[in-house]
Amino acid sequence: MVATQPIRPAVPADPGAHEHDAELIARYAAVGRELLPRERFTSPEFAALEAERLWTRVWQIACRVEELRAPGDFVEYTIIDQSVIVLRTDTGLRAYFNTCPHRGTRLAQGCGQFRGEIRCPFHGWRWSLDGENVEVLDRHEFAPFDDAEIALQDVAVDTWGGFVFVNLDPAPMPLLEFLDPVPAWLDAYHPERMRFTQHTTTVFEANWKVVVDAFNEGYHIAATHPEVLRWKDDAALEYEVFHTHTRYGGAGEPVPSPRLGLDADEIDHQEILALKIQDLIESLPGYFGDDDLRAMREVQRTPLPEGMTAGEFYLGRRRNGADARGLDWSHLTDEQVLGGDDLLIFPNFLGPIVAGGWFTYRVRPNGTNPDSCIFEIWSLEELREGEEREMVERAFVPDWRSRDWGTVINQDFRNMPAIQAGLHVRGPGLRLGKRQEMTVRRFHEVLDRFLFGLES
Amino acid sequence: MTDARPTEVVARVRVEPKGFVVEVQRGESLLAAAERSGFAWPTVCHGQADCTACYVEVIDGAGAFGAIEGLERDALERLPERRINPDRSFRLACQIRPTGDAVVRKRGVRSGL
Repeated sequence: MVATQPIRPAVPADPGAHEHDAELIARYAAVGRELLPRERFTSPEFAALEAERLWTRVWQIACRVEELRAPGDFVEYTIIDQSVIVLRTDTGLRAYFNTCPHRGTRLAQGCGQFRGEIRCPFHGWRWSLDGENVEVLDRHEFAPFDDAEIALQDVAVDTWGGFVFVNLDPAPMPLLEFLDPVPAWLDAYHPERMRFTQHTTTVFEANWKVVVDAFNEGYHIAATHPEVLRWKDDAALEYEVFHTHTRYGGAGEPVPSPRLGLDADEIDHQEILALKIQDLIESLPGYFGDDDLRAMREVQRTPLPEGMTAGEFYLGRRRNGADARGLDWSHLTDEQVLGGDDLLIFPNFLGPIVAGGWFTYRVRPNGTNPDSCIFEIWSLEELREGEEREMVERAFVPDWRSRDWGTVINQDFRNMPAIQAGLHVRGPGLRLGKRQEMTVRRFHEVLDRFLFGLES
Repeated sequence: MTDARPTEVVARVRVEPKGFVVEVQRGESLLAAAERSGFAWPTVCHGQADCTACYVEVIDGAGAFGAIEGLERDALERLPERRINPDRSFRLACQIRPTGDAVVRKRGVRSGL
């Protein structure tokens, strides 16, 4: 590994010592404040702080292992103005800053395959997949230098659960230490056996944190997804926060929300299950294969056995379905099969996770513009041990309004530009609920740890 | 033709399965009438034709509810109950202004008494 210059200084040792930082904290901090400053979402200065102090040193998901199957396969991971080539060599995964050590040219773009080596298109300098220089055209032109000085610059790379993480800090903490306790929560779902069923990218006119916050709580279900209340008790959702990451979830039992005022004897289990399945089918177009759709429609039509609740019936069908597909759900609780978990892997990866399939989102700032972000849907399906599938085509939808994303996602998307526009308008700081928005508060507190060294 | 006073009851709507009867005044929505009479009626959006929680199934007297238009029509398009039971008749309690007697089915209505 080549010694590189650190890109940015480490966390300010004593934030208060720098006058400028004290000013920034006064203007933007969430820690210790009841109301969160709106400028966190709208200020170019705050966006620049994130570029300088968050994205340069946090572990972030670059791609999945399945996108790098053969030696030479690469994915270009971009964050703001930085670009990292993530690739498979003959011996494992590596990542390099995507810039030629000669005169800075970007070496690769998008996703693809290096044919045995990496070559700069400008002057033809070449490197092995291991980042060691193989050729400098007319080397005698140059004042003598060691090969080590023109090796490709390493970026820390590591994997968990089939996800490939990178960290632009040259000496980051170990990935598993950063991720704790996410693996403890999610390993039972076998994320390493998941494969993409959808990889769709679009752009919102909203700050990346607006989108993360919007998906990071269930408090919005009643007003944004009201029809979900028929089969989900939103009040029963559990919330918890950890040192860096957060979780909400549970409430998997198909029962109506108490907001609908139904007595126990008014609940029609058959209908609730039918409604839940209808909503899943309509909310996630393209997510379920034909077999799954057939199975789900059959559940809708099948009368519940006497005395059995919708939850018991659905749980049985799900587990039987998994057995039939050769999936091992023995380590998954009934709650994980029915309801699942929504973990925020700080800073920008979250979404509903349920046995057999993840419907997750990755969000990134779009350059330095605080009013724009790159949003991706990564939907993943669990395959049997040893089963494989071709990487799906990655779709880019330049205008999210041009497409029907399914009822639930349409409802979420409709909020995004309205939130960002409203945040620009003069008004009070953001007021967060103690329980149902604890995950949102925690995210902002952790962000303050990276930006200002504030502990909470 | 008489001039009905604003508080005159123009419709009595029976709500099954509990059998409550809601007296509706001229121009009032079924939801507003029920709440005025002390019933708790399921709603999240309180009359904006957005949440669909207030929906009723029409059992008898559909003509008392008038034509389906505008916001109600959009909401009924996406009413989940209608999507799984396309042959049954549904309306939104917050949008219908009954002009005659009718019978509807609605679970989750609670008497204030």
